[in-house]
Amino acid sequence: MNNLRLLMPETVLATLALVVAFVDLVLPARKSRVLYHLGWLSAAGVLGWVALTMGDSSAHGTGTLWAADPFSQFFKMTTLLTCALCLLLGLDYAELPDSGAGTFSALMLLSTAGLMYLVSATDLLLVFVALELVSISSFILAGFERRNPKSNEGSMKYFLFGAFSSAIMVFGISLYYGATGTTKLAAAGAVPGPMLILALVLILLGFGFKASLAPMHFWVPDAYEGAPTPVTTFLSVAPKLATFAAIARVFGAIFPLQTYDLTLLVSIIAALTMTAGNFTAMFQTDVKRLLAYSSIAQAGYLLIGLAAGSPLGREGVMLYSFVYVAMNVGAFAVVQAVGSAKGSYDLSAFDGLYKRRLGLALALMFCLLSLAGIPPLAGFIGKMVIFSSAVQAGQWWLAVVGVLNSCVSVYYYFAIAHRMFFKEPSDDSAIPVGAYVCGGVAVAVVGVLLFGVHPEPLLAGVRASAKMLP
Amino acid sequence: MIHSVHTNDMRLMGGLSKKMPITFLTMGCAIVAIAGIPFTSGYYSKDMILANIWHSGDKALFWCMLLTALMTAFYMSRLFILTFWGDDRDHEKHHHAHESPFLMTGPLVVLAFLALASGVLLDRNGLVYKLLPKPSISVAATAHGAEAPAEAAKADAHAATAPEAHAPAEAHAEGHGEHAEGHLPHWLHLALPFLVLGSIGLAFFFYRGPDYAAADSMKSSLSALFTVLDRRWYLDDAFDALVRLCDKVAALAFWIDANVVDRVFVDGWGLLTRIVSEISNLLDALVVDRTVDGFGGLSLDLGVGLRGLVKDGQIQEYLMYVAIAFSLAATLILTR
Amino acid sequence: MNMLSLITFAPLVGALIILCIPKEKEKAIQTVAFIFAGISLIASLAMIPGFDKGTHEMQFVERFAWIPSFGVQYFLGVDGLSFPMILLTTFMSVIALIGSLGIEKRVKEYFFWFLVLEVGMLGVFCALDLILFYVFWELTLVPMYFLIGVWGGPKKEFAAIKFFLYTLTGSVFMLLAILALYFAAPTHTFDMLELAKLTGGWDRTFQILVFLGLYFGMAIKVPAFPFHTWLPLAHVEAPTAISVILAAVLLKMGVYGLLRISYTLTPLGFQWFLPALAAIAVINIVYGALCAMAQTDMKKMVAYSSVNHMGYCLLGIAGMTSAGFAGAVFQMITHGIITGALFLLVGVIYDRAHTRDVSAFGGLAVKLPVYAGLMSLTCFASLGLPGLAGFIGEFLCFLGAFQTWKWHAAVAVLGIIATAAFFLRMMQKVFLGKFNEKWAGLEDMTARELVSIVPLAALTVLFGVYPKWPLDLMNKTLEHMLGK
Repeated sequence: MNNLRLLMPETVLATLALVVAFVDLVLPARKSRVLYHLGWLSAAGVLGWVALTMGDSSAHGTGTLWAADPFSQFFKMTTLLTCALCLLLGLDYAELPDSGAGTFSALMLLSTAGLMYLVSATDLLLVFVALELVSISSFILAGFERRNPKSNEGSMKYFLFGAFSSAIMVFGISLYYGATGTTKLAAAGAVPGPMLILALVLILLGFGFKASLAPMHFWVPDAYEGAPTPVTTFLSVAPKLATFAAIARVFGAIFPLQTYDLTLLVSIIAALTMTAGNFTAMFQTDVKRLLAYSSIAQAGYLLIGLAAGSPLGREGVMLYSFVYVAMNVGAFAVVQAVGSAKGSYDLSAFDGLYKRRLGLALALMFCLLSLAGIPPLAGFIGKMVIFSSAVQAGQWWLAVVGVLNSCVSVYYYFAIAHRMFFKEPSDDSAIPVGAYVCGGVAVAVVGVLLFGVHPEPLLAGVRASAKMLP
Repeated sequence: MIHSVHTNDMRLMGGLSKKMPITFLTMGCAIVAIAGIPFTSGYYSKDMILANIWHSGDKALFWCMLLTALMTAFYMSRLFILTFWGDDRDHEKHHHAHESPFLMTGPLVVLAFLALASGVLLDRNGLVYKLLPKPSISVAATAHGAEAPAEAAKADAHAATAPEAHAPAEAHAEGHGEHAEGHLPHWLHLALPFLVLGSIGLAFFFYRGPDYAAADSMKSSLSALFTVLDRRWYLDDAFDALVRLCDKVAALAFWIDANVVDRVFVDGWGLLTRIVSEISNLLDALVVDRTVDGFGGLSLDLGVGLRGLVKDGQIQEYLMYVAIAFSLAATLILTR
Repeated sequence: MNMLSLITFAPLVGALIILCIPKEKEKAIQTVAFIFAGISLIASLAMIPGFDKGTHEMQFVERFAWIPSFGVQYFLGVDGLSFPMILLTTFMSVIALIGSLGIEKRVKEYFFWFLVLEVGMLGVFCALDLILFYVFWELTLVPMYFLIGVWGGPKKEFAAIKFFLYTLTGSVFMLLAILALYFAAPTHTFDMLELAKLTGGWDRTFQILVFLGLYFGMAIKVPAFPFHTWLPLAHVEAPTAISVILAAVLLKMGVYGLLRISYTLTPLGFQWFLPALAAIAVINIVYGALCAMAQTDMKKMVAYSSVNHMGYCLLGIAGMTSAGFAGAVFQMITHGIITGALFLLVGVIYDRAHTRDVSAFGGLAVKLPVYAGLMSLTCFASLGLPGLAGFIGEFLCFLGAFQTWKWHAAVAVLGIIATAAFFLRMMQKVFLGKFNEKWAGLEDMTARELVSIVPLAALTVLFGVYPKWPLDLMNKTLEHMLGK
């Protein structure tokens, strides 16, 4: 039982998800908001549990298909944090039907549970199953606004793409099995041959779908634009980060083998991802779409850390992941507040926000600056560590591409800031902000500012958590 | 003069001696001195300079200097005659001309006195050498060799005893009799004042009348030379042209800066980025979307096609399909 | 008493307080801004007696571990090179604040961003840890974006984003170079003093590459040809007080960085680049002056004259002698004062006439004698008239460069002539000649304008006749730098 005990938190979370779904059946419709509270409290509870057992080595170990180590616990915490924040945002999102509250919460929790299984997986089978759990939950969540044609379209595209990439991934896993005789990751004694290389490439592409890496990123803008904003927030953060953890684990076991080097391939994918994301974002007029492309680019930056293939790179990915939660959730929270109030997510909805609600404008600006990597904000610290891992590994061209892309990204982030601060609003009324959105924004901004000026605790924590088993 | 007549143009002046007597007299003293009439201050300084040049051996330079000294006498006298002598040329201006107040004429008188007397005063007892140190390198030194420099050096070092040192040096030099320092050869020394008077006379001859026909005819016959001199050797024009050229160069530099350096190399990157971005955007919207839609369309067509296969709902057809599939599978397996 | 932290962060405290004041209470906001900028100024002046001119070591050092996991420290200190810069920054900030009193819209945000900008500028000059230096360097970008973009001229938004993106592009290459240095040091550190001792262990190619990375960032700020084209645009579009700060302080960050970082940390790279640096200096001087000569907008003229003056700094540095370095640093100080005054003066006429076109005026000296006098003094100082501060800097730069770069210095003299030409022509067109009746209603300078400009004029004259005091501050440090 020790084996299963390692996965207690996620199992508990999945159970709680089912509990929420059950409660939904018996609860009258007008009290459905309780279900959101149930949801985020469950997430917060499990988060606290995982946090408390972080330092406890008895909670760590390897199981049949999984391992619980500080590395996985770290990513579980980021995922749970994201889930809790997004459920809070969902409380203030008017377009979510009340009747679907239970389903929504349950699906979010299930998706999170799936992600938690994903980061702990040491066997490709569990990786696949976890990914499917996440994907299916996400497909439904993305299409939750049934009356919105964009939501339907986005969800459909997401599904089609997802099915396609799942197929690729399964094919890769089967090739892997054919090459090594097992689906376990720590396949030491693996015979490096064309079949194994092909397997790894296909598995990487399968991961690339979830992590929005080029060339598997094409579903992102439509899905993000159409999905309800809390779901977009969740999708842009949690699956991406967990997938990066999984990639680190999968390829961390393989990279040390120097007989073939996937570093170049990963570097090229990173460069393509950043470029595709940043350059296409420049002329977007819909803010959600713009932030979707921005999140594609951010995935590219994260991949640089993995391309470096060093412990510093891994630390960079972990640090950037944590900071990314704060920045992206903060940005999307403000976007949700403004978009809901205005009824449109067009850039023009942000005109003159400084007059209508200065706090929101400043918060969004800080988050955007952090995403662009401007000091003294947390995003800069993250980018600094990532770029230094690239420099340390001698990947100069990748570092240069990275920093140039950061510059390009400033242009479209400032397009939003320009609207907020330089333009006059069409009407001067203050934007109504729900308490939960306000809370979410506050937490995010505090994180962005605090970890920019005092990143030491986070860095030390990351360094302590970088240990991976086996 | 300018103040009282309100013009600089000498051709409009004339006959001011009657209207401005003090100015007339003081100006006269100054002209006389600067022309180099003997015993005025100008005479002493010119004499010394010319003597030294003569003794330096550069004869060409000497005759040049002599010529310019005579020209000085000429044009100064011309100035004096045109402005103060004879009859007025412009009645209006002459009518308004008046003597200047004491504040202006007072200094004129003092300066006129100095112009006439300072030469004599300074030369007396070698006063000038008391006030100025004797140069260690002098024209005489090169001619005399070591003696004078040694004495000159001694003179420099003992400035307080300068007169005593200088006097023996001078006497020593004079004692030699020949290239006496500070003096022109005798014949030249005597000829000089006559030459000066001659050029003054020439000026008088040319310009004494109300109009100056002789001068004008000379001007027209030497018109080319006159033009060059009038245009100040075209130096002013050259400078003007240089400034205009600089302005053109400046405009060119700015044009390059704004249009080449800025627009091409800086804004150009921005444009390039925008183009790449547009391409990326188009790719996304047209290629990718179309592809996805294409898949959808393909699936639909396939579905319609396949549906067409079974639309009649005949069981016989279904069984036939099963049989075909089974036989294909059997063939594949059995023929491995 | 942590003087440097006090000086650097007092404006930040002021900025946070301003955020809390309601935006209608403009007088209160302005008072708070003056108080906290004044605290920085007084504190920096108070450091003068405590500053030991006889040593090249860092003084007023503050050192705390900031991010030990990454080898980053909170390390502040000043020496003869940075102390004059600190004084210049605090002083010019107060002057610019006086010049900002005319701002009427969105006063609260303006003073907030201004104070944040001041924090960044001060931090750049006293930071001795490379990451800390970088953080402060980047910190100046966002306030400038807003200050230009909201309160600027007709093309303010374009100027703001161009300035931001251009400077940022250079800065990120600087970041890469800094990271390269970090990993090249056996004891991974960002400490500038530590790294300076380790330069012997780095090979020439590495130093050249790192130098180029650093140079790209610095050159854009200096601004060195051909990375200077953001300057005319930003200067013209920025509001008067921001132009003053931009010219007086922000441009100095580039030259300071060249001396403090590029020269000390990548000496071989610096040596390799010297011929190019001298050539670029001459181009800056001559080309900048020529471009200025072609202008009809007075503000743009002064902006290009800034390009020209920073060329003298580069020339002085390229000379690699103590006279050259001293000239460069002195020129930095005096250029800040003189060009700051010039921008304020141009602002004076613009506030009244709403045009800066040189040909639009004529004979103003009759109506505005005080203004004409101050403008003439400042123009003469700018063109390097002996007896005024500009001459000392230029002269020392030429003196320092002449030994090694005779021909460059000779060609650079043309730049001085061109500078004289356009300044004198501008003065002639604006102040002399027939009075243009259109401006019969113009008034001479107000008390506020005088308070901001007269101290600058006084310093110009003072440093022109008695440059010993600033030169003494910097001598020991610069000599030590060259003695290595």
